[in-house]
Amino acid sequence: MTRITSRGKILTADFTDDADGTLQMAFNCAPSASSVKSAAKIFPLGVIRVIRGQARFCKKLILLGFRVKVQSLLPFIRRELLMRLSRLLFIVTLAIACVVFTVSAQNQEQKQTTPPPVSADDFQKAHQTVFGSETDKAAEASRLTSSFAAAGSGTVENVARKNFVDEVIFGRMERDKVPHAPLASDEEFLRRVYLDATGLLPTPAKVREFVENKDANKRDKLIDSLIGSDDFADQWAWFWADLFQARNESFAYWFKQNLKVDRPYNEIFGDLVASPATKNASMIPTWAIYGQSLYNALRATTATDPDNYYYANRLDWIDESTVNLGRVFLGINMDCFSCHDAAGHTDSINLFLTTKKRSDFHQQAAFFGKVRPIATWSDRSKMPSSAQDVIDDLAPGYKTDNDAPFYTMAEGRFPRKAGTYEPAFILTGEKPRPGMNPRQELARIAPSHIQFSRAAVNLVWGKLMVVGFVEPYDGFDLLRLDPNNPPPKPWTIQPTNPQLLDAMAKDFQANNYSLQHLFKTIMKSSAYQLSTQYPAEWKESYVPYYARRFVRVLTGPEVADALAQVTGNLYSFNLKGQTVTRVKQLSNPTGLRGGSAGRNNDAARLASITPQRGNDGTAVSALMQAFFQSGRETPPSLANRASAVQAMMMMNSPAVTNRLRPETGLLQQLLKSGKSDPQVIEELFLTALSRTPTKEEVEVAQRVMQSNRSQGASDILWTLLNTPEFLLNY
Amino acid sequence: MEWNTKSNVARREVLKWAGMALAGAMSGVSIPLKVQAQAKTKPLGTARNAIFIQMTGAMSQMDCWDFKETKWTPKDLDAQKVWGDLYLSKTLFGRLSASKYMDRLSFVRSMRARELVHFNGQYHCQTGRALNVAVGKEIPAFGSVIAAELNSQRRPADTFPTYVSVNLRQDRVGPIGSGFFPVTYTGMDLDPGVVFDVFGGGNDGSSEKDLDRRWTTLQRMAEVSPRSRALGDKANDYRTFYDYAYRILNDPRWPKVFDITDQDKQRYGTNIVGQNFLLARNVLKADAGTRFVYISETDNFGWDYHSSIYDKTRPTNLYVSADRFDRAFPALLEDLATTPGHTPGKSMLDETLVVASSEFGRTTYVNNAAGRDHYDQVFTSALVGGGVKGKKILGATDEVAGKCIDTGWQAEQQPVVDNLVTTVYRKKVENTPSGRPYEYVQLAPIGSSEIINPNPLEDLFV
Repeated sequence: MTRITSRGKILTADFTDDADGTLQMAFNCAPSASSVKSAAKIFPLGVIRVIRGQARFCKKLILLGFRVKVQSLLPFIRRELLMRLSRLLFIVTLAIACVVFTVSAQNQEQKQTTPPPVSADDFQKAHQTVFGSETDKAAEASRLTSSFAAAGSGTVENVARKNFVDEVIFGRMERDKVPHAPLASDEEFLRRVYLDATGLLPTPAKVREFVENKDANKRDKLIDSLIGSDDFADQWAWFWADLFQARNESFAYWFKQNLKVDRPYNEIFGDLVASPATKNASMIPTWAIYGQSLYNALRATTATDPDNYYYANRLDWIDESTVNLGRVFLGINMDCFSCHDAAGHTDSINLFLTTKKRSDFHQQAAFFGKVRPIATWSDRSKMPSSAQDVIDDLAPGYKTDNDAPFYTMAEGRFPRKAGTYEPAFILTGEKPRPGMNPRQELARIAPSHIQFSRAAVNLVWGKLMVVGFVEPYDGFDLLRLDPNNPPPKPWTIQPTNPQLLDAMAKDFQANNYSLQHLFKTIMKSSAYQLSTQYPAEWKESYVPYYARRFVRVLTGPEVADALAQVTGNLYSFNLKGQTVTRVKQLSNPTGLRGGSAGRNNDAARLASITPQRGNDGTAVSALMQAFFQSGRETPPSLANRASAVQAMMMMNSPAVTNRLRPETGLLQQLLKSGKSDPQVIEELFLTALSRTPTKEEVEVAQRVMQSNRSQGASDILWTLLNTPEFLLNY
Repeated sequence: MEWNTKSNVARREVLKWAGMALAGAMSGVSIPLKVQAQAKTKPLGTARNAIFIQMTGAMSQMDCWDFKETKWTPKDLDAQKVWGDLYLSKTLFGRLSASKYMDRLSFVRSMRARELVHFNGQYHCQTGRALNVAVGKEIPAFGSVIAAELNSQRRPADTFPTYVSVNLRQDRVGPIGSGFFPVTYTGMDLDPGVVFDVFGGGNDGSSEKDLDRRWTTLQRMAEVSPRSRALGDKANDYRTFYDYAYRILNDPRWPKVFDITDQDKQRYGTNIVGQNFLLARNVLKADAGTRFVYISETDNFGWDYHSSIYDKTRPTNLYVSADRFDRAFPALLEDLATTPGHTPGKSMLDETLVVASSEFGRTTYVNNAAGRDHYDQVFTSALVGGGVKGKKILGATDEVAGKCIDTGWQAEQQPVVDNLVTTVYRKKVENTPSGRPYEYVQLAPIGSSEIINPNPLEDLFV
């Protein structure tokens, strides 16, 4: 269900293919008795806003019509104008009609004895936020989970409340009488924790050991052992590298070290914004995150000017870097008002952004105002791609009066109004202290604001709990976070649980911005450990309560590594002369393609497990892309979606099928081990799905193995790799 | 185009306005609507299919399709007149110039780019509009738009996706998804480095028999699996996707797409360009549901010769890039022309609009690395088939192919890639989740101070 919105109003549209295959859009427009009452309150404000918007647009069009010299465009402008004017007229007429209608409906309501109760669904729908994608993500997760997890039955025992997270989550469910799922079984929990913490599957030995372990604290102990491990660092450095669009080995290595020693997140931020680079910046890990924005600011002509003015648009680079940092560390997408004042553009999307002006953005970007990249070359080419950049803080500041003289849209952003902008923090206006390096001041100012912690908490919560407090991660609306200070109607409070978000943000700050502490707090809670199985009738309105575990499609590297791990046919990637066997140990997803096809010239070259099959790396790369692995040239989508291409790859890609040959890997080992068929089957299930098979499953599998034992075993493993149980993290 | 169906604009617009006015009262009755194209201009021709070839890396227009001899032009290009104002280098495009389909090609020499970097330029080609990162997540590849529009015309036997892309994994942007359109309309990308192994014959890991057998096992296991048993009527995303995928894999036409004969290899070449064009030809010839193919013509580097552009001692240079295209493209035209179309008496080339376009052009001068850099003022695109009247050149440039001296159509502005896309389909307006209107062809791109003339390049068809 896609939420399609029109300026200021909410429409719910379903794309459905009916019998004759036409694309239909179902607009839910007609009011029911109870929602009419809420309509009466919301609608006048909304309509006035719409009328004003349309009138403003008409005025713009009329003025444009006079200014435009190109004859051929006048018909278009005229047509737009006509459309807008007639729309305006229609709305006014309809507005009058609706007022009459609602008044009469209200009169009708008064005749009833008691008003019907507003169900949670109606309440939710009537107060939906306008920008629908956060609910989309939640709706997606909800739907995917419902279709995956069978309906459970029976009563649910009281679940222990282990920390403040549980107090808030279960407290709210108790207050609102929302039933919750039971705790996940040991197998479910084990697999989930391994995947979330390390992106790897637990081995059969681990599964057996964990299930048989009688220690009451075994879950907490497992979490403690995994968080901070090497595998944990691999998994989560990959995640952050996706966010930063960093494709650089030194960055990957640096970030992994940070995670292993639990470097405070504010210090990581400090390094990323304030580090010097007086020699080759590409050698310095923290500068890897600026590579893409610098590339996008290049003029792609050879440098002719010693100030590198024609080399890169410095202000474009600074602006784009500021936007990227804002997304990840503040959870705010500043892109919109990096070109123009947000008012008049984001009014129906984000209240906070709408208050922002372009000058505010310039002031935030001005923390980098003194930074300049100087390209140097060791070859004659003077091509941007082979430049080694030296970065210093010697530019005069964020001065716009020497902005590009031959501006084109290719240069990225609108011409900037002449002037010098002094740094001021976007959220508070705080300026750097006199005499201090502005970048170092930013490193101090930003983390001290609670939003920094909220953004961090939201990122991790969103990955671990599948539905974030705020979706997407860069969509925070700061004027809609406080239940004690709610926004005007029809806006609603944005986070799924604002109290918990703030409590966790404060806890993050109080614990020295420790990521490991954040992970453990979430994972040790009972809220994280609920099952996908839901004992009552599931409603989408229960999503913000986190009343059950949501499923998540495995990410590209997780599928690729699980594939190798399960089949026992590991990869053999070359990372700077060292052989690594897992995708997540690499630094760069695009490097898998190998050869000149990869953008990074020092990317890993791959050895195939079967020489005649050719480059295994391209098949793995294609597989990962099917699971929405980004190429790190744009911010990642963090999609949680299945697709037919994934199915095609899992069924037929040589990355999969080659690993299933019975004379290789795990299959060979099991078939030659002397184990009986049921024992082999059990091992396959434990390896691939981290659980033992049911009696019926063993029966089916035995029949498959009867005619041709090795081929049958291979087929069974193929089957297991193609079930949702394998492909989902539940 | 057969895509000009009845217009229900008025009704749809009315209901949209009605929805806007009745704010907050959202529940209950759904009013089904047919969302269809807004037909304001007459159809250009009956193109049933379309192929968009992205000439990755940016061709140098003054050496290729807008030949201009300057002091940097190598002496061995041997430009010959082909017809009218068209001179092609015999060294670079010998086979194409001699091809009997040369008369059916037309060119637009006044194209103007909005970008100077590959990423943005290729994004522009794939989506038909300039990149705006703020709405990036919502914007579909224009192939997805086509897939959505043509969905109603799919026949029961159609298994292939309507929108197929070839080799997009190789370029900077990668395949762009369906944006805010339903995921079904995402294009399926065929990566020539992978697909011949994955789907072609002679694949040790899995033959057709293997797949059938395994599929049966999968169904049997799913029947007894504790997860699947309790599902009942609930839509299972995975089942849907797997069924859809299996239908394609099981379709006998599918492995034929990856069947390359020796004769094919000889005619198209065994390089990546040849492979890409062969895949496109096979997908369309299979006639199994695909109507639009987007090809990233060559590898990631493509025509992007910032250095040593004419240096024959290098493994790749302009001559090599041109030779690959020059071999594969006429072969593609030949195969399309000799395949019968849907309408009796017409060939597939008559029914397929083929567009070949770079992201931008190259500089008029050669730089100090003996190459040419990116250039946005002019570049040339080519069109053939699907109603295009050949031997037409729209637009003209100055003597160094640097400035546009004649836009070639009724507007003062030079055409952009958006106009190529308009030429492929009609103007229509939708709303994205963020509330901004998604116009199939933008009049005013978000965040731009320019107004685009959204007309198609009609003059090519009359």
